[in-house]
Amino acid sequence: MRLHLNDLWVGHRAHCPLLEGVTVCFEPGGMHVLLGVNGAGKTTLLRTLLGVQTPLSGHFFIKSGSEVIHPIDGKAWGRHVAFVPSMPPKHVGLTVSELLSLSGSSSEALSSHPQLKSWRNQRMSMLSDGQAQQVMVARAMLQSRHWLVLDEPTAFLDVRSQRHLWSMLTTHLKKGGSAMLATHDLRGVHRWFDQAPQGVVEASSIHIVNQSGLKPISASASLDDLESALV
Amino acid sequence: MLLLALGLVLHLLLGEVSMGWSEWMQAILGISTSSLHSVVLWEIRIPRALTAISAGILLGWLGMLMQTWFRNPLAGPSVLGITSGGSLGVAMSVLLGLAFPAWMAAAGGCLLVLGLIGLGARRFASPVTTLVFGLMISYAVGATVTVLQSSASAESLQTFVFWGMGTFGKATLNQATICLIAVMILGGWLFWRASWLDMWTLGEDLAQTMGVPRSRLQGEILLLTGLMVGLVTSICGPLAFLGLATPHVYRFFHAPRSHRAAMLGIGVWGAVLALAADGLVRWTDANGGFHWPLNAVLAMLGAPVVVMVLWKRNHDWS
Repeated sequence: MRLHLNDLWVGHRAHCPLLEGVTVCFEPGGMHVLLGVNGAGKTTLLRTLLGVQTPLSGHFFIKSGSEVIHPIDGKAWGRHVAFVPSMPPKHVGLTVSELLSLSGSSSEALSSHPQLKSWRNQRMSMLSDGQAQQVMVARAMLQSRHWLVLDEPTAFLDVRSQRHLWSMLTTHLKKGGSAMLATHDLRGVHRWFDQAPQGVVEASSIHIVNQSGLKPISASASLDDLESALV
Repeated sequence: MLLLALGLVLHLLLGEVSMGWSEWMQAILGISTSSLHSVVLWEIRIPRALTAISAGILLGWLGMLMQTWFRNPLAGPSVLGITSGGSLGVAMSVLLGLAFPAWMAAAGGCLLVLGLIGLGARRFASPVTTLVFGLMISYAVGATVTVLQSSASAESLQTFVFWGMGTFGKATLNQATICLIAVMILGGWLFWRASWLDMWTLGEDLAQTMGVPRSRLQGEILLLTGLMVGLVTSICGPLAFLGLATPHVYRFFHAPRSHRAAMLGIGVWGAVLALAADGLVRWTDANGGFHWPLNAVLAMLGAPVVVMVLWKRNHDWS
């Protein structure tokens, strides 16, 4: 389930690419954090990796043993990735349990999360952004895909929910899954790398996203190091 | 449901030829001794009521489908220019006197516009752009119809103008049956694709990662919409308001639900609204000097209803 990016050029128009020639390999079983200033191309990179946007050039694939899965095969690709978008959807008439049941057994998700149960009969449009975001994370978990791709998952969350999200991600990794997330939550990232089990941290990575590509940063970097690498 | 049953019975029972309960039952069961009564019932009232019901259901569902697909509460078959495409087809058939039947012309016009929108939708990333594209097509098609109108003969112009006012009253029993079959086809498709449509409301990117094939769903929606709008338009005229308003009326009275749960309610409301509007048309025909065309009734009743619904719910589009 290793994710390979091979000389990948990402962007909306060929004459102004956002990321140029990214070659990197994301280990399975790890948390892969993408940091970057606004407009650096984090979301575009994630959309590309989801197979929703075509890359300008280059290619990427998942290698699992001898099997190679390409995003061109949308169905097979979809069996390996689950996605949490940065904005929870608006104007959705579905109730929380109706939404969860689109991705699997909703009772399973309701039992894994302390607050979901009390919202289960509420409509999504009646929840706050933070509550809706937690539902969206629980939904993605429910798909039980190997790769969990999250775009700014903590942006709307209060401190308690942020910690719950990070621990849910750890659970996903302990079960053998992998996660990739774009975030501005330096403190959360730092704390997670501080406290996560050793085996998981070894497979994990932090990258700074800018036009020249992805620049790796040591997982043991201090909060100050992370901050100065961004500015 | 109750409203629908009541509306249907009233619709069949009342009319310019008065019928008592017993005569009405006899005519329905086909054992009437009066040929007038059975002709009135089977060739006028039943086709009219069935057409109104099926057109209401079809347009209500298509409105729901368009609003989901474009994630825009103001979407509807008429907004996308599909209805005007049908009008163009009929205008060419009626005004230029081309020798093909109106339904074929209307379906052709709708599919032509849909083909254009389909091409546009491939190019445009956002459904909202596609919606604006549809509006622009609608203007262009409307202009073409105006050109055709201004150079048409007075007689054919009159036919076209009356067709444009809309009516459920010109349908034959066969046409009504075709509409009912269309209802079954569209209903079956909606039920089958309901979870894709639910996923689609969560966002385009997310829906695709959840396994919704974007272009295939889009193709199916455009094809079905084109055929169904073409059918309704050729039989009843370009009905503007039903598709847009029915989902809003439903959401006003019921909590919004998943597509599978909502489709029954939206269908019933579409049928009730169409029957009620047609009831008013028939009532004004029977009483008083003014004839109120169907489209005028739909707009006069419908526009305030939509405004009221939006007014009360402006915090929550869903």
